[in-house]
Amino acid sequence: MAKEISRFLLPFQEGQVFSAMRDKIHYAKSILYVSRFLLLKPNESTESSMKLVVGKMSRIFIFKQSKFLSFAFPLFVDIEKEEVLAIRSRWGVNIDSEIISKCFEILNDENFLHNPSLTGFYFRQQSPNDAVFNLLEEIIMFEPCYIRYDFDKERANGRRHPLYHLDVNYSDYGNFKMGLDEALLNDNFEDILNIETDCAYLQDAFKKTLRKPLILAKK
Amino acid sequence: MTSYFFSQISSGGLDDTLLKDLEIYSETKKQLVYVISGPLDQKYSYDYQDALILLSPRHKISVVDFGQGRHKFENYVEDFLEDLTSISDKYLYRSIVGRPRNWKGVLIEVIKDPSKLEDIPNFFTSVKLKDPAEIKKVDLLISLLIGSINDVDRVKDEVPETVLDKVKQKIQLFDGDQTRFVYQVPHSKRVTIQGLSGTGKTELLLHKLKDLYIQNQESKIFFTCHNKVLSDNLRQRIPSFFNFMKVEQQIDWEKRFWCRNAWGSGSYYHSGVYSYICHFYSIPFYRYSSVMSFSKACELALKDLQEKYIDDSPEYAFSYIIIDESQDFDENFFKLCEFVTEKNVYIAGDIFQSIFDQAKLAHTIKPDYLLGKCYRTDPKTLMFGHALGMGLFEKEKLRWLDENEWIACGYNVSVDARKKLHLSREPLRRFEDIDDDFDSIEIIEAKNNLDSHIIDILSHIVKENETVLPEDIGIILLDDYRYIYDLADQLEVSIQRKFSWPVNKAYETKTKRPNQIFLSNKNNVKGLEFPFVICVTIKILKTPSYRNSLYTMITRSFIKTYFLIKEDENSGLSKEIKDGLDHILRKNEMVIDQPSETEQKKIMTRFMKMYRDRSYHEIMMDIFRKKKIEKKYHNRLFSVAQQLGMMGSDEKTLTQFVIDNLKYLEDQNG
Repeated sequence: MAKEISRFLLPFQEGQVFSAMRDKIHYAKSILYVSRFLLLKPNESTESSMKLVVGKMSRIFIFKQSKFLSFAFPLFVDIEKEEVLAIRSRWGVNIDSEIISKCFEILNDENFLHNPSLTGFYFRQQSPNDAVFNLLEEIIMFEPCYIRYDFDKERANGRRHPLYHLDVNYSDYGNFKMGLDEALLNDNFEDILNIETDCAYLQDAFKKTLRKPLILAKK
Repeated sequence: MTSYFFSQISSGGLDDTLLKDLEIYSETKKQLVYVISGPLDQKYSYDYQDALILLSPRHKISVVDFGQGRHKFENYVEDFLEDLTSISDKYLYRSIVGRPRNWKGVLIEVIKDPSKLEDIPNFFTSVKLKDPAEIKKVDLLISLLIGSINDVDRVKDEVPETVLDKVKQKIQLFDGDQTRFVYQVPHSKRVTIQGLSGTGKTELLLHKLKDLYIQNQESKIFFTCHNKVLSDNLRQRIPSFFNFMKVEQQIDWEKRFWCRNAWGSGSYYHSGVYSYICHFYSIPFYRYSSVMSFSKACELALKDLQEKYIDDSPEYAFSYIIIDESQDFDENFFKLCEFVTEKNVYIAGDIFQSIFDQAKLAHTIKPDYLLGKCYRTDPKTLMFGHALGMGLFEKEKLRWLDENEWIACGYNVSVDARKKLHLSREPLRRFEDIDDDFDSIEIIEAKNNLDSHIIDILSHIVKENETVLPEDIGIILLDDYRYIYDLADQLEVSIQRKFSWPVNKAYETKTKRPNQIFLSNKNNVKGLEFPFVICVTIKILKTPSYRNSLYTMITRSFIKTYFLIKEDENSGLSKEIKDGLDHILRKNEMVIDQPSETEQKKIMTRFMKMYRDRSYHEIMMDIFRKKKIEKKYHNRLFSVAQQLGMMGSDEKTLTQFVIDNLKYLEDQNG
C-alpha cells in the first residue's frame, strides 16, 4: 500500500518548486525545497499543493491550480499520521533544516556554479562537511524522472504544440511532448504515473505511426 | 586635535589664535567646524591666499577676507562660487539645491571685515539658519566642499518627516579625523586606522581608494579583507561608488585593481591577495588544512620571498594594499603585504574586536588614525553593546579596560565621589533630528516561541514606520545551536504569510539582497548595517567569542535594535543588566562599579583562561591525537558528533563518543 503525504504551498513555496526544470542543480534544489516543506509545520489551505507518494515508486507531485509536475524523490521519509518524523538519504544522511541550508550554500556559490563539480568544489573547501557533499552527490546521481502537464493557449499550435500536453524529460536533447485530447485532472496525472494502477495507452500514436512498419525498407 | 574640527589652512599669514579659538569653540559646542581655502576634493587653486572659508552644518558658508584684498578678494569669491556650482552640477545636486542665484544670497555670507570673527559665539549666531529646507541645502553644499558626497537619491529633495526617513536621508559629513585621513599624505609605509565598527572605516577606505586610483594611472591596488562575503559585497559596491563619485576612469579589474578576500584559491590566482602573490612571484601556494593556518601560509610566503630576493630588491606586485577588518589577521599577513607593496599598506581594524583578542592587543596601541566616533549606531545602543560584550553590569565582568582604552573606544570618562565610573559618548549628528526619548534599544523576553515574538516585533516596526522596506530589517540569530535553522525556516513561512516579504537567508546566499528581509546566523553580517535589527538568542553565554558577536550584532542597527531573549531564570539576563540599560536610556551614560586592582587581575586571568579554552574542534583533535584515531575517520566523527549536537560536550563525553562510534566506522571499512 502506497504511503502519501500532502502539503499546501504558499505562493513563495510554489515559486520555489514549480518552474520548468532545466538541469540537475535545479533538480537538487527542488528536492531540498520539498524536504524543507515536509519538515515544516503544514500550511493552512492554499491554491497550490504538493504530494509525496511512496510505494513501488517514490514521486513528488506539485499541483499549481490546473498545471502539474512530478519528479522522483530519492530520499526516505518516515511518515506517521500525516507527520514527517525523519528524512534520510539512502546512504544514511539525516536530512534536517541545517543540512538543507548547507546544501543550498553550495548550490548558490558562484564558484560552484562556474565549475559545477562537487569533487572539485570539495577539495577547494577549507573544512568540507562530508554529509553535505554525500547528500548532494546522492541526489544528483539519481534519475529525476521529470514530467509536466501543461496547457498553454498562447503557444498552442495544432499537433506541433498541442494545447494540452505532457512534457517528458527536461534537457533540450531528450525532452518531448505528448499531446492530449482533453485537459487532465490531478487524479488522471497521478494515475498515469502510478505503476501500481493500470497503464495509460498511446492509442493515437499507435494509429498514426506504429501501423506503418518502423524498419526502414531495404532497397 | 578634536574630531569636531578640521583645518586645511596652516597658520602662516592667518592669526593663529583664530584657528585655536575655532577649535576650542567646536569642541565645547560639539559642533563641526571646517576651515578650508577651497573645495577639498578638487584640485582647484586660487591666486588670492589671504582668505578662508568657514563651514559648519546648519550655518551659512562664510567666506572671510583677512588680507584686505578688495578686488582680488571679490574675484576669489566669484571663482569659489563658480567652482562650487560646477561641483554641485557634477554630482547632480542642482535638482535639490537649485540654481546659484537662488542660494547665493541666502546660504553664503561674504565677510570683508575679519574682526567680526573675534566674538566666535556671536558670529555663529549671526550666520545660523532656521529654515529646514535651507539647512538641508547648506549641509549638502558643505558635503560637496569636503568631498563627503551623499547620494542624491538617498537624501532626496524633500525634508523628511518620519524618524526612519530622517535618519536614512541624513546628510553625512566627514568629521575632522575622517577628513584628515582622506586628505593627509602618510609619513610611513604602513598606515593604521583603528575605530569601532560603524566609525566609517570602510567608507573612508573607499574614498582613499578612489583618491589613490585616480592620482596615479599606473598604480596597482588590492583591496582585501578576510571574509569572502564582505569582499564580494565590496566588489559589487566599488563600481557604483566610483560612478557615484564621478570617477571618469574605468575600473581595470585584475590588471590595476582587485577586490578579493585575503587567501583566495590555488585554481584562480586572482581570487585572493595571497594566491596572487604566490602566482606573481612563483612561490608555493598552500591551502587550508589543520596544520596550515593563514598566518602560517603568509609566514612561509614571506620566507620564500626573502630568500628569493636576498641579494636584490624585489619587484613589487602592488602599489598599494588596503586591508579592511584587520583584526582578522596577524602580523605575518601585514609583513607579507609590506614586502610586496611599493607605496603604502593601509590597515583598518576594529579596536574593540582587538580588545577582545588578547593576542592582538599590542597592535591597537597608537594607530596613525583613531576614529573615536561610531556613526552607524546610536550611542545608547553602542554603550549597551559594550556593556553586554564586556559583562560590565555583571558580577563577574569579562573584560576591563584602563582609562586610555576607554578613551580609545570613544568614551568620556569620569569617576564620582562614590568611586563609580561614569562612561558616556558624544551625541551624533546622524541622530540629532530624533527625539531624545526615542529608545534605540529594547530587550524583549520571549515567553512563547521565538517565531511569534519576531513576527510581533516586525508588525510593530511596520506600524511605527510606514515607509519601512523589507531590506531595512536584519534578523540575526546569535546562537550556534541547530535550532536556529528550524527557526529560520519557520520564520520564512511566517514572514511570507503575514507580510508577503521575500526572506534572504544570508547563510545560504552569502549576499545582501534588495527588497528582501535579511535573515542570518552570526557569520554573514560583517560590514552590514540596517535601520532595524532583531538579535535573537536563548541564553547569554560567557565565552569571549559569543560576547564579541553579541556586541557586533547588537550594534548593526542605526535606528533600533530589538534584543530578543528567551525568558528563563538561567538566561543570563540579570536585573543589573536591565537596570543598566534603563540608566543608559534615561541618562545617556553607563555607571559602573570599578573593580579593585585584585579584581581587575582576576578578570584578566579569567579572560585569558577563557580565551585559551579549547574550542570543540580543538578538543576533538586532541582526542584524535590521544587515541591515535586514523585521519580517514576524522571528518565522519566530526559530522556525526555535530549531527547529534555534541558540540557543547566536555572532553570526557566526547572521548567516549569517539570510541563508541569508531567501532562502527571501522566495521564499515571492514
